[in-house]
Amino acid sequence: MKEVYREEGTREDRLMKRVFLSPAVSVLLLLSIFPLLWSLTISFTDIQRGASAKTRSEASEGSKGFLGLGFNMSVRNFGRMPSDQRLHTAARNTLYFVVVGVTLQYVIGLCLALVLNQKFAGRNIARVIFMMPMMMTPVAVAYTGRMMFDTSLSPLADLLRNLSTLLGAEEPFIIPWLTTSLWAPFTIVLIDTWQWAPFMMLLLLAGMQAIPDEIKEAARVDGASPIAIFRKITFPMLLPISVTHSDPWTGDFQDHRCDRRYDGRRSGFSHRIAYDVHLQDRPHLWQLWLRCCHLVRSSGIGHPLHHAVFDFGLGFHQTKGLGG
Amino acid sequence: MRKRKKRWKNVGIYVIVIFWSLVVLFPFYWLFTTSVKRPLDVSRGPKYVPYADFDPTFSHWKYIFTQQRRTTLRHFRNSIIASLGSMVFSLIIGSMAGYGLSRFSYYWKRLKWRNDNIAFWIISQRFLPPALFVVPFLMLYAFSGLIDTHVGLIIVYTMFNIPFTVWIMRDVFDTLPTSLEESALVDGASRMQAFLQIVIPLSGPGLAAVAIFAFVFSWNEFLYALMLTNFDAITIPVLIAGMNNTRGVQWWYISALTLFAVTPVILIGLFLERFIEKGLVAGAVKG
Repeated sequence: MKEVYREEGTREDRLMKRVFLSPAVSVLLLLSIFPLLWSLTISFTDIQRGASAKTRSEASEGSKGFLGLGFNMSVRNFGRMPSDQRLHTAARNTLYFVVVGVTLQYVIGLCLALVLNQKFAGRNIARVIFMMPMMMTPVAVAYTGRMMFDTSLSPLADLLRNLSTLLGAEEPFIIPWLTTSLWAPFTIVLIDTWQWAPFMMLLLLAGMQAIPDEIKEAARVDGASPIAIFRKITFPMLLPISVTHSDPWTGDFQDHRCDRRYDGRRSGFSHRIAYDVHLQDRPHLWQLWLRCCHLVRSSGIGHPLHHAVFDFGLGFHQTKGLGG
Repeated sequence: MRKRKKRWKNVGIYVIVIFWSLVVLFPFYWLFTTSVKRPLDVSRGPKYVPYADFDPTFSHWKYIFTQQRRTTLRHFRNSIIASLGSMVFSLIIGSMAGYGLSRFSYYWKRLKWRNDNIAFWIISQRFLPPALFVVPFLMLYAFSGLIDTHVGLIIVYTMFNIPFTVWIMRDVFDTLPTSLEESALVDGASRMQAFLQIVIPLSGPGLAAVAIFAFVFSWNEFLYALMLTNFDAITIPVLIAGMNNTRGVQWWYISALTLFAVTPVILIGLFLERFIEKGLVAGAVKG
């Protein structure tokens, strides 16, 4: 367990512990509470971009609106939500993106981490190469992806063409990677995986190297096969890390980077939530809903559940004699 | 028998490594060739090898570094200022908070929050998609005159980097023994001196890892740079995205700019790569 000064400590310590923590907390409070309150407030008003305060107050039957502020309190933003088709598409796509994307990235990340955990010549070079996509600007990744997945001009299309002639197919294989709503989500997931699987790899690799060799050695001496060692030791011990780390990073999937490049014009796909909010004139229910979750989480109501995951992670290591 | 098994295992390893290296490297190769292709060569189907398939031209690189030199370098400078600035601030603020959470015990009576709860609250700030904060930030910045300034970008990026920094640095500090600081404190050093002169030098790898992540995040960030800057403080990702204009997508300029933008980050990654893993190992032991 970590060392914590349980006693109140000297006077200096009592002062210093506030000095150490308060900058971070105040920055986060200032910069996250303000947007929170702002969105919460504005989502209950009829403020609309493009309409001046004057027209609004005139529209509200000569009155000056709520408290004379020039707008009215209203729940129409929320009333619009159930029938908003774009929101449904956005929610579905986001879900698809998170489920398929995280799965794919986890599987690939785990494979790569398992490989890099072995000893072989050129391991350091391989590790550097594997990490390269992570360093690239998402915008550039999106453009590059569009080049790689073009339906007719890309090397991938060329590969498929050659493959079809090689196999003697009647019609050349053409996959409309980015131009149909069937394929576009998957292609975007692929591109995202290309960029972020290395991150998963890095976390899992770090976790693997924290597993002491003695355990595996003991299993090997007892005659366990490498597959059994992976299934019974490595994987279970990585599980807590997998869970805890994939959780915060799902935030990244809500990033709208690929979408902006491929979006609606081309495939009708990709009004994901983030993009949707970004497009809206006013904050949307989604925004609010997420914010509520956030509020619930940070106020500690929803906390036990989430914390259980972390505690599970900790406890697991400790029972295995790995206590941090 | 055992040896043969080992050989097959090695073959397997190399197959995976080579396959994934190709997957990773080919797009970079493609970016490079596209940056030296004439527009016609780009639009007439895939051409792979310079000199064999097409005649390379360096006019796009020249355009970027001679005619557009001032624009390119301005954006480059802006990116460096924003990234380094936020990196420094988030390291300072984040490692202080990490140290506090690792060494002191906090208790907030109102919500019965202890260290772990505070740490969780801090990391929970990263759960939300950043796009949610854009509009409020735009309003706030428009109101306070921070639009299109380096300071504005540094503030936003620092906010986004702090949670990650705190989380990792706390784990790093947890793995350091407390005995050294304690003896320094007994010898009359102040808490701050112990932190700066003993703890910080010992946590080099962790600091390096966090610094890289903070830098790379700010360097690559697009949405906020797009929304909060107009001219003076525009960063490189925005410049790249802007190459999709009325003349269509100018793949050749995009490719050249992308390679230009990615080079410093990859170089940093190359030199500090081993720290990344070391720093994360410290964090991973705890889960």
